[in-house]
Amino acid sequence: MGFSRRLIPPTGAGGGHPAGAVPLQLRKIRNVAISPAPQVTARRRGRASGPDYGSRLFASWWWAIPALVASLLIHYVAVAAGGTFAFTNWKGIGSFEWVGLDNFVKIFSGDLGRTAIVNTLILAFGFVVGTNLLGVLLALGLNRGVKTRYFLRVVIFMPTVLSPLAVSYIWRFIYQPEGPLNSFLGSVGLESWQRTWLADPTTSLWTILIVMVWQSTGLVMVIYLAGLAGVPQELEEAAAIDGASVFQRFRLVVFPLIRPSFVIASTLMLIQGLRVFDQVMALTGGGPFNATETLATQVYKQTFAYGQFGYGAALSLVLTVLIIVISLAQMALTSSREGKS
Amino acid sequence: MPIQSKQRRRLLLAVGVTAVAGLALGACSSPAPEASSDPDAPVSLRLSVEAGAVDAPVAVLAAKYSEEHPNITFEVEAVPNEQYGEVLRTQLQGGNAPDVFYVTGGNGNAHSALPLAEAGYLVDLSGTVAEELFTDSTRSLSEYDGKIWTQPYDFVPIVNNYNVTVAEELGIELPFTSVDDVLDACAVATDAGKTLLRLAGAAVPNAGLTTLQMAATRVYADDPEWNQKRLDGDVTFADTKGWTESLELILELRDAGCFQEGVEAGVIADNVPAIAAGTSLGGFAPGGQVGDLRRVNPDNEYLSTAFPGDKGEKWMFASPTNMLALNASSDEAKQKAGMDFLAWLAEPENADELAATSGNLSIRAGSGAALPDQYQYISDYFTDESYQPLANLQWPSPEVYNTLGTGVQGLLTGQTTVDAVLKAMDAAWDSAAG
Repeated sequence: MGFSRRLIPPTGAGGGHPAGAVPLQLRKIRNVAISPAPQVTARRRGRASGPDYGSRLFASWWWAIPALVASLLIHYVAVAAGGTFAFTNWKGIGSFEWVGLDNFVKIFSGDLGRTAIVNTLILAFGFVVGTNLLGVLLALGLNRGVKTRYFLRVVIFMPTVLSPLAVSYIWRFIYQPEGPLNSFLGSVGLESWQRTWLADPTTSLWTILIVMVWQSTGLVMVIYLAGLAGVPQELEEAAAIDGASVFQRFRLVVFPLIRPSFVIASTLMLIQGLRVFDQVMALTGGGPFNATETLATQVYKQTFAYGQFGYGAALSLVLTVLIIVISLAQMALTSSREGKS
Repeated sequence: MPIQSKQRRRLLLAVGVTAVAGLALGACSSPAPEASSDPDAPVSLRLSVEAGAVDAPVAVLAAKYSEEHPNITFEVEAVPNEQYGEVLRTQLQGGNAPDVFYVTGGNGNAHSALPLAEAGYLVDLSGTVAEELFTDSTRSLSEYDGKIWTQPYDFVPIVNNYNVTVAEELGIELPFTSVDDVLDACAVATDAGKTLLRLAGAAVPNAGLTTLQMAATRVYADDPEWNQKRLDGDVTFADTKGWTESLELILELRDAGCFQEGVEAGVIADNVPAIAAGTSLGGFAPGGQVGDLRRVNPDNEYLSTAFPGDKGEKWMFASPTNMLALNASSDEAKQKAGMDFLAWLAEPENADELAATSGNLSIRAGSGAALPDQYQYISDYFTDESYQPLANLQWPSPEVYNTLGTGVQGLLTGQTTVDAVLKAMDAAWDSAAG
């Protein structure tokens, strides 16, 4: 009803057409859109108060029940059941004992647990900042004007479709002591910059971050390009005529309009960053000497390599809570800003 | 009419739910046991092995067994190495594990035998031919509650494999009899633009195995019962001089240029190509690595040696690490067929054939069988009984070995100290032993 009223003004009021002078096309739309409304209202009333309301409600829910039950069992019950092992010392086989919060105490009091949490946060936030910064710059650059923009978009997006493992192995080759990166540095006279990139504790975490950002920037660029497609060129031109600089045009005109893209891109990248696993395992395996361990790699190692299922489940729970809390906080932050704007 | 329609619908619903439940339960139920008194009745055995670049040696021998015993067929399930333990444990707990499966001895891995025996998943092999294949020093790898639960099928020496062709070109004489010999050879190799040893410093298994070879002569030669003493709390890693010396030797070799450039970033995958190409002369690995070296560069010759003690002491690790076990929940006919297969596999000619396929030693090697040429320099270790099972197989958790391997990388990068690594190993041991 509301939709019809907004789109098609009542005859003779606000539409700019006197009664009897409404264009044929609009009259047709109005007939179709408005006429069923009273019936719908009546039906709704009948549902809410009629004697068959309960059975009809059951009939409509019946079809959703299998999907709801499957979702409940596969996702929530399984996660809850797995989560209970966080309070046990189960080793993946045989019996177990309840150990209360011992596993969580071990995580937060041990060096390895703390290192994994800090590394996870560094990679996640670095990933969000890096991909969004590069993604929006590339999107702005390739939005209009450049003749080869379609080709360049494909080239930049291409790494996104590759397997993270395959990409990481290629980069591992690049980072090797005798690899292309050190060879290049040597060839341009920068021998002092040469190092064992993946085994140097001062560089290893950043090398992983570079690979992550390199691979996902294309995806973020596409998200921003979709947002930029909805920004009218006239607005930018008007702002330019009013004397706004390039940065002012972006900050005050373009960015408010592509804010939904920012919310989507930053949320996706944050979650992806928090659960990073493939790149770490393929590039450094968590080394050197645990310098690049993350919560996800520790979950895998503790659970499947060392058979410490209880401790691994506790790490999983910490990772899950971390993802939920940070994602909700981030969405609340971006939503409130959106409301203000 | 509406009432009849409702009743019909309910009836249809009840029939439908019953039918679906019946089908679901039928699908979940186990097939009927194949027990039969006829010894020639056909039996199909599920055999689980670790997947590799080529068919698993046990699978090759199983195919031969099927040719000789047409009523026995094998359904081989090759599971990737890194998932093998997890898959096996899940299958055992889910009641759908294979009838015959690969395990390793002791406690050190996710697919180690003893935790599975303790949980009641394995068939008791006491009194079978499996007992003959263990010595007093190796029996503990399979013994729980006074019984034997697995059958070993080959013997794995942990050695240094060298490219002899390149070593001879450089005038380096093998085998080394002291650490001084090793250091001299390092200098010769470095002068020739090569390195003597290839170490995958970023790979826990290789870094750990290398240190264990140092510890063979520095810890276990004088005290073969060191593991038991550690279990009893009589010794620790940190207060054992031999462990400190072993880790310090790694750093001494690094400083002498024995390892390749960027050793802390080295990965296992690069070891075989580098040794086969001769850019590095040797490395630390199980003896079976020589088979890979021959496949990569068949024009060169390779030999396995043990790493020497400081003054020529001789001690090495060699274990019946690879084993087979039978599923306790398989039906009687399958357990009987599985036992017959294990007995056949232990026959000397079949054991030798399996070893030739795997590149390791025959499980009969410890009892005086002739060794392949590759092992000519370590044959006296067997005749003198100067060996014992790989130490970490008897450690209480894989985490202790991982702490060692990770610690070696930390030493190479300067992130930690020898003392800190040994204390971390003690902590991991105490945590696992509970």
